[in-house]
Amino acid sequence: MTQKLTTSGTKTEQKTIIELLRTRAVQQPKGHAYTFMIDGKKPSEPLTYEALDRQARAIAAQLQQYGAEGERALLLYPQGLEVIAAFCGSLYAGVIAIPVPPPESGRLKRTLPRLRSIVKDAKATIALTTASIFELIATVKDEFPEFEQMRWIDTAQIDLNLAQQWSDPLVHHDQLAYLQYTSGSTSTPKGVMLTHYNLIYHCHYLQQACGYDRNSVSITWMPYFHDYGLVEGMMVPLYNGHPCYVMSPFAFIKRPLNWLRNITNYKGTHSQAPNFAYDLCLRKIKAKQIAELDLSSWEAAGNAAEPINPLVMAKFVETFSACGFKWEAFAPSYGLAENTLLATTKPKGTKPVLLAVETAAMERNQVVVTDPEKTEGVRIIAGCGQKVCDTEIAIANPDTSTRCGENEVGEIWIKDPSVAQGYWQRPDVTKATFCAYLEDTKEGPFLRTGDMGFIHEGELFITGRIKDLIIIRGTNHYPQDIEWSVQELHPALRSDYGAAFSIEDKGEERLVVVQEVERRSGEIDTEQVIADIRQEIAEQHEIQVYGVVLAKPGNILKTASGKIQRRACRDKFLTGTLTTVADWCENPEFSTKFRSLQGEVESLAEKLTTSKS
Amino acid sequence: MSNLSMSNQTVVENWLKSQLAEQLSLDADSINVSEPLTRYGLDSIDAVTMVGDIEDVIDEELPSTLFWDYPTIAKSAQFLADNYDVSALGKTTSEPIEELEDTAIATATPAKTKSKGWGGLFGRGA
Repeated sequence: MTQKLTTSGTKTEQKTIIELLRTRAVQQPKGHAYTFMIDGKKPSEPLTYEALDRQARAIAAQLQQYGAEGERALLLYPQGLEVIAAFCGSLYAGVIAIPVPPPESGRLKRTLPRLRSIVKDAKATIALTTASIFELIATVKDEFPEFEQMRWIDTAQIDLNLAQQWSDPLVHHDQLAYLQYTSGSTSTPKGVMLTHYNLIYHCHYLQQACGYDRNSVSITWMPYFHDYGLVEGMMVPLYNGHPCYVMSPFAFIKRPLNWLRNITNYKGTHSQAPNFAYDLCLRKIKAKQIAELDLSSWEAAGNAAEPINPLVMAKFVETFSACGFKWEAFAPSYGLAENTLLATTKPKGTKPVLLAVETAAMERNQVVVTDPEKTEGVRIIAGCGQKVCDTEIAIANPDTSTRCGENEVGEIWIKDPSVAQGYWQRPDVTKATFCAYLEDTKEGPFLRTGDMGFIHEGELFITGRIKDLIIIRGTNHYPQDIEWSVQELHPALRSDYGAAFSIEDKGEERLVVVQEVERRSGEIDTEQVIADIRQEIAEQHEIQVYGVVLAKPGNILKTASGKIQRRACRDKFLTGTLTTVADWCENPEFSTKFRSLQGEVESLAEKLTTSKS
Repeated sequence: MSNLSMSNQTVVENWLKSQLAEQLSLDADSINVSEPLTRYGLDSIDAVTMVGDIEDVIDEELPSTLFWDYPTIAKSAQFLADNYDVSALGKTTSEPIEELEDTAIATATPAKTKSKGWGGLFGRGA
């Protein structure tokens, strides 16, 4: 093991998190690693590097007693410091960690099917967890056949003295450290394979690109099972050697003020969240509460993991500049688990970049910059910053795999040591996603992100996605998952003739479901069916549906290979050209009734103008 | 409490109904207290947000999972009425206690308003 450990802000010599934490425990045993904020506000005892290292060794020693090296272990925890120790413990034992959302009572309907499919996909044999989560899962073990075959370990029960029996497995940095299951549908989850090198290399990148230094303080509530929470939220502080205050995502959502209070109280410099979180602060925090905040210490307010609404950014800075929040603090970023985390971010101390482009040109994948104050035909896009260190980005035509012109929108391709090793045991999808080459220059291999965008003056802008993936509140939803749960509700709903897609309303992505109804289904209570659909989606997928259309057969088009053409369906919805049986939408402008009324008014107006001329 | 005409449970139910109606743009009268909240499209983030709203009014720490553990208005209202002092929910409809208490901080800086649309946010500079 290399013993040289430099101070914050510079690259460490360690090649794995194991070496890193071991060295910190020796050189700064009492250094402040993490504090958990109980209920989002009461600080726990600080966890030191020495204590974290000891816990990790004890957990690892236990895993070694079971001969678990190379096995996959689920991490099922409430947000907190235990899961950080379990993650490090797995790595210390050469066990591949799988951070996943813990099941919760009352939400098992959503969490259990996904958990099961991950267990099956990864062939996970171990679960590190708490007593209460274990008991909860035990209550549904009949629906979880893999339960009995797995070894369940309540890490709180592990004797810390076991730490002395740990033997360093001398893990090579090219070995897998963890699997990140953020992509893939519920039915076919895809585990992104990250090595020790990916993680430590990327931590170094973020240290540079996000401007971490010896005075940094992290505050994070992003969940440990999300790449943003795990990598930048929890691992970068360990890498950079600065304290990290961890909150539960629930404590944030319940009271967004908790987040900003912690930044105030601990002089947080780095804290990240998706767009919706900044919006939630605007909606929930009162003017009087703003007066007690001081956000002047906040240097990098990371903003990624879902499309960024520039209006939310503008309103946030307008509102919170009263308590010291600076426009320069916003750090819009772009990334994905397949690249460990970030590919671009806004450099510290510079202003975020907003760009006004012509919408008509954008629809043809052309970038035409225009005047932001124009009232029509202009789209304001928030830039996602510049390339993280030496990350290579190509904008490629997704159909021809050739490099796009300067003012052309194309698919974002990434080449970097941060790029993951592929998807766990899925060679075909791995090849298609991770091994793309530019046809014209033969450069590669690139990671295909599936996201569309362009680079303008060194700044990356995201414009949409090739895949039909729906991202709402930072969570990816696969349309087929939603379509299938709808079709199971009622025999009159045609199997494989539904389309779930998102539309943008007031800068926010919202879910719309169009479902064909069987011709011979007779009388159905459409109001009831629509209510059932909304309830099912809220329960299974935890999304509020924006609009539901029960359509006549013939509305859902398929490609020759039988793929549902969701885009075409979306266009029909937006232009009001679906033939509907019944529909409902939160915004009545999209409902048939409104449209026919509007149509009448328009044709009347047209008649009036034509008669005049 | 002199007003005993309404049971605590009803007080909570009414409060939750109006809150849900506001959050999801529904007509409060159309909400059935025995239907699962998810029926009205309440998603997980809104559900936890609503717990925070109740906390603000009754000034107590509540479980974030309240609306998963008690998934209808009737059930959650009963849980709240049985375990907490919910009288504050009957007094005010939406004004949180915290706000009423600290009126002393009258100097609270109001949010700056900018009328020029995107104003100074366009343009780059270190």
